[in-house]
Amino acid sequence: MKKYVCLVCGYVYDPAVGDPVGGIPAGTAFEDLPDSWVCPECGAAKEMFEPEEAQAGAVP
Amino acid sequence: MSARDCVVVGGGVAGTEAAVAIRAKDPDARIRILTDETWPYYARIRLGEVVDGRIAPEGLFLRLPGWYEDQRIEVQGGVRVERIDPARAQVAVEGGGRLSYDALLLAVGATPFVPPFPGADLPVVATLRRMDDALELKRRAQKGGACVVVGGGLLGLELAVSLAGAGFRATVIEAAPWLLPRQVDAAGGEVLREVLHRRGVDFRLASGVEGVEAGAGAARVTVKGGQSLPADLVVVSAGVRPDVALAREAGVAVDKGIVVDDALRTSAAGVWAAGDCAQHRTGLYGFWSANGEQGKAAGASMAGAPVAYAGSVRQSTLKVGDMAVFGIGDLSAPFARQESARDGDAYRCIRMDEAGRVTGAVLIGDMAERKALVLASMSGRPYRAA
Repeated sequence: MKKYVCLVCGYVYDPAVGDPVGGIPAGTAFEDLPDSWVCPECGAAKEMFEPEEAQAGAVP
Repeated sequence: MSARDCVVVGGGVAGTEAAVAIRAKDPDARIRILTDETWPYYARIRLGEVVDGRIAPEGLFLRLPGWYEDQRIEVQGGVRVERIDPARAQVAVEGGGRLSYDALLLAVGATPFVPPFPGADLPVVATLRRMDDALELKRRAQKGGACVVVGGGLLGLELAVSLAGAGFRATVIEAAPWLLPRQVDAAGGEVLREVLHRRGVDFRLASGVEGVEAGAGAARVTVKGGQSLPADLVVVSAGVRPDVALAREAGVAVDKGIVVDDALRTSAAGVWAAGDCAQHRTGLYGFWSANGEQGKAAGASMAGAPVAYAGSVRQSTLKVGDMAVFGIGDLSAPFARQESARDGDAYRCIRMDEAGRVTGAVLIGDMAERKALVLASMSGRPYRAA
């Protein structure tokens, strides 16, 4: 499962870890997060996340 | 050889990310975080949500209880560091204790800047930096009344909307002729002013505070030109100043912040700095993502890994209720051409150099292009709107 990065604050959502503080168990794919889920660090909505490798690939 | 002994002063995003990075590179290191906070690590940039009651303090905590133990990171809260002594590799804490270290990170943050106007030290004048500040503002807002926010930057506007949501009549005083002068051009600033005005925030632009006087009832805030506004609360949001005192007193090189190289090392052997207190090359960043990146890099370097931190992309997002404002780059930088358009409450302005690379951009309301702008800025490639 892919990691996703918040483009607003840099927080990385790692499905292997989930978001335990936010009540999301380990093993939850990013796609399966509820629409109401927000970035725990900055409050940004899900659409502000990008797959990690896509973002890394953009840096020369 | 005994385990590497790492001491981190400051438990915010830079300090915490550094501790994680040290642990990732060095399973045996002893890692201690000393912080003067009594709250666990929280999302500082969301404190406005505590002010207007959208969320409880616990909702901003970023780690589960037990996480630090699992990571074998020792946290000593409510601890003030009085002095650092790089020559002896020691830290002196309030109350007389001394700790020795092999690697020391200063992630001590910054303090709100309050301009020295008469009355600046009155109890009616407040700032928002910590959880305790947010709870104090929330408590004061329960009485309602009038509030003056000094400074119309990103945080000032966000705060003004939070305070209006918390029950105050809020007025923002801004020195520039339009809002967010560094992030937005005049047309964008006007869009913002109109939208925020409809949400109950008033503005005094091209203005400034001459002084604050306490009275029997509300205080009076005198603005440029002599007019005065009543205020049950005055919140100053005029930027922050890096906390450099510990470094300076120890003879560590300080400019605007604590000067660091590309491995986040300061001028003193065995001492690193990261986050709001640090100055990398010419730049102070002062925002969450850069502070986290610096913390990660500093931690890796403290654990002995080669590190080349080249700086962070400057971007910021403000959320005002359901309206988003996004800025990237520098709108005051030279540019070759610009695209700008307003559509109702939505606005976009994108400035590019001759090669078509983004020098600065702002989006208000419609965030469809945000991801593309961030990616273009990170890659340094010419920008094409989708």
